[in-house]
Amino acid sequence: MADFRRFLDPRVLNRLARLELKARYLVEGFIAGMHRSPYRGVSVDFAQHREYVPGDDVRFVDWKVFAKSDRFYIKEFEEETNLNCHLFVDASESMAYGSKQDGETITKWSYATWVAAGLAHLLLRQRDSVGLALYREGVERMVPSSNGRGQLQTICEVLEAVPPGGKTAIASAVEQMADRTTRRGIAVLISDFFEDVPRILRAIEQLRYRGHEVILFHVLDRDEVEFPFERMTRFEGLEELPKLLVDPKAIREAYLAEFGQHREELRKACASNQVDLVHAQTDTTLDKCLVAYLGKRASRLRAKR
Amino acid sequence: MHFLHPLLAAGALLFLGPLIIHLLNRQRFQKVPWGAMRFLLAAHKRTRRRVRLQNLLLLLLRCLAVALLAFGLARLFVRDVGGALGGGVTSEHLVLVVDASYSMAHRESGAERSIWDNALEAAEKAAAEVIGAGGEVTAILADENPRVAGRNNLRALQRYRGPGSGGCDLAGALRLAAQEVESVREVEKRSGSALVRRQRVLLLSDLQHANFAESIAEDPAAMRAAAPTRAAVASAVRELIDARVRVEALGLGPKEVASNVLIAELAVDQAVAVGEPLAVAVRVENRGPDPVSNVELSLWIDGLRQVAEPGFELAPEEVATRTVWFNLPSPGQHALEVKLSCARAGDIEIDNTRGLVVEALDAPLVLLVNGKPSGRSSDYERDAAELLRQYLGFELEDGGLGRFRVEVVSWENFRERLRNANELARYRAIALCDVPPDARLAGVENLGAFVARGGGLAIFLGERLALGTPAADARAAADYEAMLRVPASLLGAQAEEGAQLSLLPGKLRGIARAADPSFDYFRIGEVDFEYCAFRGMSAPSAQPLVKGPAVFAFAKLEPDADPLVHVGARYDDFEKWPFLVERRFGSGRVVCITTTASLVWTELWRQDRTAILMLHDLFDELVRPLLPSSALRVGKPIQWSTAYEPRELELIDPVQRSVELASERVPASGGRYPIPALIEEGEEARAEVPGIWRLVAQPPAGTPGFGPGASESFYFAKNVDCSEGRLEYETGSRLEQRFPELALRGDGEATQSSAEATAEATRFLLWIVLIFLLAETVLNMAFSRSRTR
Repeated sequence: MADFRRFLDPRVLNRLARLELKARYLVEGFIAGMHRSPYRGVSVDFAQHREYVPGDDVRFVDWKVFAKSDRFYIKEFEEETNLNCHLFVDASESMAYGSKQDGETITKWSYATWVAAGLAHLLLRQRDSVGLALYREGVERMVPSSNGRGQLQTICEVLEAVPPGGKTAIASAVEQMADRTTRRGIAVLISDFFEDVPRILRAIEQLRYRGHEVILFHVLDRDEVEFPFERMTRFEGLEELPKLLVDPKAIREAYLAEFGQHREELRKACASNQVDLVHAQTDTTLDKCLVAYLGKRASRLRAKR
Repeated sequence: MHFLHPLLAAGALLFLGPLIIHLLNRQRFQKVPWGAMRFLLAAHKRTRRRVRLQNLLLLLLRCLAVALLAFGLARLFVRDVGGALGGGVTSEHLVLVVDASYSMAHRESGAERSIWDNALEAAEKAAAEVIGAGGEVTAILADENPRVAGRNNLRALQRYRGPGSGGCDLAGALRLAAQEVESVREVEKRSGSALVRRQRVLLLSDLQHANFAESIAEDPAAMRAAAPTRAAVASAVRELIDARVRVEALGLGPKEVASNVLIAELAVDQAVAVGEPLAVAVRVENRGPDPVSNVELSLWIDGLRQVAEPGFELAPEEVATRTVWFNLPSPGQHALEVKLSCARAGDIEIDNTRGLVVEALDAPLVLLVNGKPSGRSSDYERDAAELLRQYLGFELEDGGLGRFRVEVVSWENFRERLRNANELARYRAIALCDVPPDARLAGVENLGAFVARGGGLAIFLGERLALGTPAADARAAADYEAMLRVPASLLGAQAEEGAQLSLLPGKLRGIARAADPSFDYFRIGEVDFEYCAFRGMSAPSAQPLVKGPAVFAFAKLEPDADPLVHVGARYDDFEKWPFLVERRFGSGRVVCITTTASLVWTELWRQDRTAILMLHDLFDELVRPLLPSSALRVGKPIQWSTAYEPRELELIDPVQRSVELASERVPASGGRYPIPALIEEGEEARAEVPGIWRLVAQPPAGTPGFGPGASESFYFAKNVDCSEGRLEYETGSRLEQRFPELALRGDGEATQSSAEATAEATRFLLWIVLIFLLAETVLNMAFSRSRTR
C-alpha cells in the first residue's frame, strides 16, 4: 500500500501533474497521518441510542423504539448537517514568487492552489458544500458552492486555468462576493496578504458580518520571511511596484522589521476579530492547513448544536 | 615627507581599489522578482540615508587604509620639517662611519670580497648619491682610534690598507660624527644660509656583537666591564638623535654563525694594575658536530708571537675555558691576542683570533717623613723612616715585593710641603715617623684634606713623645694632639661648625716603659688577624711572629669611642693598651702604631719577613682608596689556578727579554701558588717597556696533561673589551632588543635605522592602518547593531 503521507510534502506534490490528483493524494496522505478517522459521523449516519433525560430535544426521540418498548430513547448522530465553505484564493502577481527548495521551485500560487484543492476535496468527502473565488482587484473567477460530484473537478480546473497576475484588493473582492455567499459557513482566505492591514480587516469584518467563520491562510515564501540575500540584488517589484537595487545586507534588518510589523498587525487584527490566522510557508507540509480547517469546522458544529 | 622606498609609495594609488570594487559590485547584481516589495521600499526609505553614509565612510576608511599601508611599506619619514615648511631646497650632509675593525676583513667561504670591500662599495655608492645631489659627505674611519678620513671624497678610505687587527671604538666614532654634524651646523649658521640641510649618519659595519658588547661573558663581573661599551654606544646614538640627526646602520655581516672552532671569549677580571693578580679566561668553543683534536692556542703580544699552548681536544659542541692568573709587571697599555689553530679543514680564520688591550697603573708613591733622623743604618741605630724605606721599597734576594715607590723627607722639609696642598696630591700614603709635637704646625688642614680625599696616613709614635718626665710627656702628648687637629668638617665628620677633630685616633695618656729592658718587656697579646696588617700571619704557625717580639716602650693611646675606630692589636700589659689603631676619615684612613719603628723601643721590626709582610699589607690598604678600583699594585704576588707547583718560572718582558726569578714559592690553599714580585723599586725603566709580559711555568715531570718539556704561559689583559674575531653579528631584531631606546636596526642589505625617532613615520602609519582596520570592524558591528534596533 502506498504511503500517502509523503504527499503532504509540497516538494512531492509539486511533481504531480494534475491538481485534482494532487488534492486527492494530499487528503489521503492527511487522513493516513491521523490517528482517528474524521469520517465517523459523516452525513446522517446513526451513531447510538441512549435513554432520554429531561432537557433532551424531543425531536431526536426514536418513536419507533418507543412504540416497541414503551421507553424513550434518543437517537444520536455524529454529524447531522453539511457545512458550507467558501474558498477565497489570491491570484495576484505577488503570489507568483517562489524560491528554489532542493531543486524544486514552489511558488506561493502553487502552494495556495494545493491548499485550496486539498480543502475542497476534504470538504466534498464530508458532503460539505464548497465554493471558490479567485480574486485580484476583484473576483476573477468563481465556482458557486455545491457538494455535487463534479465540484472538485470544476474547482481544480478553475485553479489551473488562471495564472497569477495583476494587483490585489481583497476587500473589493469580498464585497463582490457578498450576494453569493449568503449561506453562512466558513470563509477561507488564502493569500500572502501583501495589503494594508485595515483593508484586510475590512474584508474580514464583512465576512464576519454575514455570519461566516473566517480562516486566513497566510502563504509566504521562506525568502520573504528570512530575506537571505547576500549579493548586490535588483529587486523587481511585482504588482506594478518599482525596481530597487540594494545591498541586501545593508537593508536586511530594516526589511525584516517592516515585514515583522506587518505580520504582527495582521495577527492582532485577526485576534481581535476571533479569526484564525494560519502561517503557511511554502517549504512546510500542508497538513497544517487542513488541521486548522478541521479544527474550525469542529468548533462551528459545536456552536450550531 | 620622504620615502625610503619611493617605488612602494606608488602603491598608494591602490586606494582606488576599494572604490573600483565598489563600483564594479554595483554593476554585478542578481535580479529577483519580488513580491514583498512594499516592505522593501519602506525599509529602503527608512535606511537609505544612513546606509549611504555608512557605505561612504567605510569606503573612505578602506581607501585610506590601503594608502597608509603603502606609505608604511614605503617607510615614510619626515625630515627637515622647517625646510619643508619654508619651501627651501634641502641638501644632505652625510657622515659615513666605516667600521675598520679586524672582523671587517672576514670573507665568507667562497666569497672573493671581504666585508670591508662591501663596506667601501656601499660607502662609495652612498657618497656618490649625496654629492651628486649637491650634498656633503664626511667619512669617519672607525677603528680603535676613530678619525675623519676625508670630506667630500673617499680617497683616504680607498687608500686605507684595510682593517687592522684591532677593534672598533664605535662610541668614539659616533661621538666624532656628532662633532662633525655640529661643526657643519656652525658653519651654516655663521654663513646665514637659508638652506636647511638634512643630516644623516650612516654606519657601515658588520654589526659585530662585540661592538655592542652586552654579554661577553657569563660572569657578571665581565658583563659589568662590558656595560660601558654598550652604554657608550647608546649614549652616542642618543646624542645624535637628540641633535635631530638621522642615524642609519647598514649591517654587512654574515647572517649566521658558522659551525667551527673558535675563541668565543677572552675575558679578564676587573683588577688591572701592575702587581695585582689578574685572571685571563680564554673560552674556546667547538660549534661543529665532530670532535677536534690538537687545538692549539698561541699568544701574541703587540704583534709578536710569544708562546703556544699545548694542544688539547674538543668534543663536539664542547666549550672549554682556561683561566690563568697574572701579576701585571709594568704600567702602560699593551695589546694581547690569543690565536687558535686546529687541524680542521675549512675552519674560519677570522674567529680564531681574539684580542684585548690591557693596561696597568703605576706603583703608588709613599712619602716617609723622618722626624728623628739618626744618620745611621745599623740595625740598632737606624731610624724609623729608614726602616720603612728599606722594607717598603724592598729589594731582596728572595724577590722582594717592590710594589711601592718610596720618598723620604725630613720633618722640616715636610712642614714646608705641607703649606701647599698640591704638594701632597701625588702621594698615596704618608708615614709620620717619630715627628716632634708642634702645636703650631701650619698647613695641617692640607694633611686632613689629603686623608679625606682617600689618602693613607700612618703615624708612628715614639721617642719624640718620651721626654723623660711624666709632666713633659703629658705636654708633648697634648702638643701632638693639637698638632694634628683639623676642622671636623674637612674630614666629613658630623660636628658643630668650627669644631675640630684630631687625626690621631685617640687620646695620648703618656708613655709605658718596661722597668728593666733586660728582663722585662711587653708583647703584643691580642691580634685581630682579620685586619689587613696581620692577615698574612693568621696561620697558627705564623702568629708567634707577631706575638713573640719584645716591646720595651710604647705610647699609651686611648682609642676614641667611635665606630670608625678599629683596634688591630693590643699589648699584653695589664691595661691592654693598643698597638695599632685605625680610624677612617672620609675616603681615607689614619693608622696609628704606638711604638716606633726603632729597635730601641721594640724588636718587632727586627724580623725582616714579619716586618715586610706586615708593613706591605698595611700600606697596601693605606694606598688602596686612592687607586682606581680596577688598578693593581706592583709587588702583589700573582696567583693562578693549577694543580701543580711549577718546576721553573720564567718571566719574559714585552721585548722578549728573560727576567730571572729565583724566589721561594710557598703553596697556598686551594692549589694556588704565590709568585714573587715582578717589578721592584728602581725598575721603572724596565716597567715602562710597552707590551704584555709573559710568565712561563714549567710543570713537574709527569704532570697529567703535559708532555715532556711542556709549559704553561700566562698573560695579562685589561678591562675594555675591544675584541674582534667573535663572529656573532647583531640582527635587526636583536639589536632592537638590546637598544630599544635607539631603534637602531641592521639586517643586511635592506638595513635601515632611525635617528629622528619622531620623524620616522613608518610605525606610526602602520599603527594608523591597524587602528583604521579595527575601527572599520567596530563600525561595522555598530552599524549592524543599529540596524537590528
